Amino acid sequence: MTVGKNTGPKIAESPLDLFEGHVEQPLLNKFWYPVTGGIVGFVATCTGNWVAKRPIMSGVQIHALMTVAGVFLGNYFDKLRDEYFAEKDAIMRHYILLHPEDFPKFERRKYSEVLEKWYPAR
Amino acid sequence: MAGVLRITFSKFLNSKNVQSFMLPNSVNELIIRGIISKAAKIPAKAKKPAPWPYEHKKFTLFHYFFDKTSSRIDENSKIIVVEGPLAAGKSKFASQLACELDMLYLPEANLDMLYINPYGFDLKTLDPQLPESCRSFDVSDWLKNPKHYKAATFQLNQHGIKFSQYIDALAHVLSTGQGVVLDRCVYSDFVFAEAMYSQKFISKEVKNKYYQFRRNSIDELLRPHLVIYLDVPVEKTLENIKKRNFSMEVNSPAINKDYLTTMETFYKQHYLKQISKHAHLLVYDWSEGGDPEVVIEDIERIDFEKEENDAKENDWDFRMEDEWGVARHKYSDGKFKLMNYLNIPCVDIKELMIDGDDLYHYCKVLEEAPGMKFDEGFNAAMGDKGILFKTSTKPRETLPRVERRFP
Repeated sequence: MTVGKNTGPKIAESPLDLFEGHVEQPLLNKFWYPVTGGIVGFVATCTGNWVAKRPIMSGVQIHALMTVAGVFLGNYFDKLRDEYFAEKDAIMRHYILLHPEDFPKFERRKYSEVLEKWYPAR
Repeated sequence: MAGVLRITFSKFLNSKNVQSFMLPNSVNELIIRGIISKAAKIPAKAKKPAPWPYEHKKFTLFHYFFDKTSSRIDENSKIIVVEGPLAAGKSKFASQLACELDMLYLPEANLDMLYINPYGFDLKTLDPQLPESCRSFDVSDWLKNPKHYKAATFQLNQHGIKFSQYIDALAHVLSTGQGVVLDRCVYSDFVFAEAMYSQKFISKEVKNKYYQFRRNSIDELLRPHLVIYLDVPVEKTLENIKKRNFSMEVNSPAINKDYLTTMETFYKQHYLKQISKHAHLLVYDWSEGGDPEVVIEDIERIDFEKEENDAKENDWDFRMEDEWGVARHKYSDGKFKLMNYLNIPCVDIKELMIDGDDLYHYCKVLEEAPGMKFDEGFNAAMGDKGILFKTSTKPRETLPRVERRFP
């Protein structure tokens, strides 16, 4: 019986396999950046009012403006981050395609074969 | 870098060709360099721009290009200071003078200007709730008990409030072009410190601290154009005080012959000597009072024309439009920066320090007081409206123009 081969995740046969497939992002990851940006914008405006000895919810148009700006800024940084990693993956993939000699076939080993035997001594 | 921009553009915009195109009303006239009374004034041909509302509006880099500061300055844009001993009739004379010369009269700086908040609440009424070290102490308290340890704080506060008022006076002259008549000023305040020291009301350390405050701050200001000293002999001053009959002054252990004599000595030997190098000086024997008309005639005779290499009016020697603008910006919008020159730690003097617990208690009580919770214009409890959408406050803290209260 081959354990995990059919039920668990697919084990990569070659380095290129690592770039295959698509993983659906969790909801938290999708909205993390814009939501954080919005909250920071709102809280910063409240803090500014508190420092200037004004009621925290005075000049609410500034709050709205700063929150929207925070959301857009968060979104922008999220996109920037995605682009950065996409580019990095593409470069690696391209390199693997061009240099197959750097990635020879390897034998799969268990940890018990890699690790040395341990003798407990006190 | 902003300076380069300012000078370049203002030179261009203030050049004759551009001016004639942009402001057809402004005609260069022959300027008479002397103060003229309201009665003798000939209406100028060129229309002056409206006074700049410096209390509510900032004078920013953008305004340098389109608002010419010197266009509001005329022969009456001067600072006049009325000096003299107690009960000489200074405030009455100064207000008459201001009225005749069409100038602004600023009453003598007093701590009521600080103790009454913008909503009219008197912070002195909080005294029973406060620890002893944080209670208010102004001139009436001092007259009752001149040897109190808080006389030191009182004298330093007096310097602070006079400094603040003088900045307001400069901002007024430079922003509106209207002259200002002051009843005593920050330059003569050391006379009181010396008189108090001579009577041992304040210690030597406090006096030195006072001079540290003075040295640190006073050079930022422009000295007055004209000082009028109303001279009253000490015996006559004591009589005047009795005649005026303010119970605080009459019964005060502080007001005695020695105190007044020291004051007079420092006024005449030090203050008038120093200030007359820069300002024009008029001294009158005011023991029987006098007629402001006579003084005005004398003022009109003074030639304020500045001569080359003359130390007189050196502080006001602005050659370029840019210099006028910079000075105006400094006093109208940079007041909070100038007030920071008074932030000198006094940790070495016991009577100037407040216990940390007391201060904490004081801050708590102050926050609960009417109109002190939030900045001016943001207190819903005091009836301020539209707070939800309000974003701006006054650009500067201008002192209220209130006379000293005598209970």
